[in-house]
Amino acid sequence: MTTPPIPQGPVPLPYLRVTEPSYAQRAAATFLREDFAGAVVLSGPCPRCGHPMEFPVVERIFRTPTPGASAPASASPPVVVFCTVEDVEYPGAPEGEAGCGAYWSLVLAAEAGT
Amino acid sequence: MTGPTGGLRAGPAPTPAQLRHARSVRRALATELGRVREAALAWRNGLGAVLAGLIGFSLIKGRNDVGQIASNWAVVAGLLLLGALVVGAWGVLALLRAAHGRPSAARVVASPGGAVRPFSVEDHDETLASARSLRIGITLTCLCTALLAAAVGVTWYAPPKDPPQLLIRQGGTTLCGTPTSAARGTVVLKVNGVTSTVDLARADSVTPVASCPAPAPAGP
Repeated sequence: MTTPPIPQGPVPLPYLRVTEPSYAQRAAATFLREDFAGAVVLSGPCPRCGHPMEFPVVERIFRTPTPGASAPASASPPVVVFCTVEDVEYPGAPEGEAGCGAYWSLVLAAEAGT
Repeated sequence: MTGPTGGLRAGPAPTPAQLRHARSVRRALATELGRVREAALAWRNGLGAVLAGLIGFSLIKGRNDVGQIASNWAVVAGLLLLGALVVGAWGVLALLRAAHGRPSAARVVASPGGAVRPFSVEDHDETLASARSLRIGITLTCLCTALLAAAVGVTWYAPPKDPPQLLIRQGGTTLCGTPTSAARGTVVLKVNGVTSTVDLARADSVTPVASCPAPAPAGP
């Protein structure tokens, strides 16, 4: 008796650096927002590839690469979010780059739940 | 914690420049803990070398005998050295904490009603705490060096201890001053800037004292 093969998922989408208005709308509707001191963690399915992803948004980072590079967690300007799925190999993805390439932006309300 | 749709609104489509910026922040965030440890290690080694040079190789050196300076100043030098020791130890601990972290366990089980902090957030918090410790460590180590230099300066430039005085009683009079010379049964005392020669053969008593007694107040 042989062990049944592990069912393989569908072939992942090709890597494509792309954005669409629907990505932001879908992410705003499906993403979970967790507020911690000094950081907000957004998690949910990538609106393009559908794989679960996590995206931390922090107020400050050690030695900010460029002035103002960090996005305050409670700021009204939109936070740019991109797919960060790491355990899927997307055909055509650049070397060392995680995610399917989709990106969008979300506005974090000053107070969660508002 | 906010559930789906809570606290989030769709934003406008980001520009390629905004995306590049967001990716660079993400990359910096992923490597920040390693970078702060690396920076702390470099600071620790650099400041350690400076302190070792100053103390270990006696690049700055005070007088061998602190007892040669006036007692008040000797106390000041002692307090400065004590301060340097305390501040230096605190600074070294802060630098070590920044370079190697705190040996403690992280909670991985959520407390009732609370959420477990993701490791990415834990690492970010640790990075900021390490950066804070690094700043404190640098400040305290520099302060330690300054206190050390001040202590050494005090031992060199503080006024020397007063020379021993001689108290001579001769009949009803008492003379007290700094002996400047002695020859053939006489001693020359400097009393309030005036030198006077005293015949020791006529002295009732000769007593060396650390300081002359204050003159008695004039009677009415």
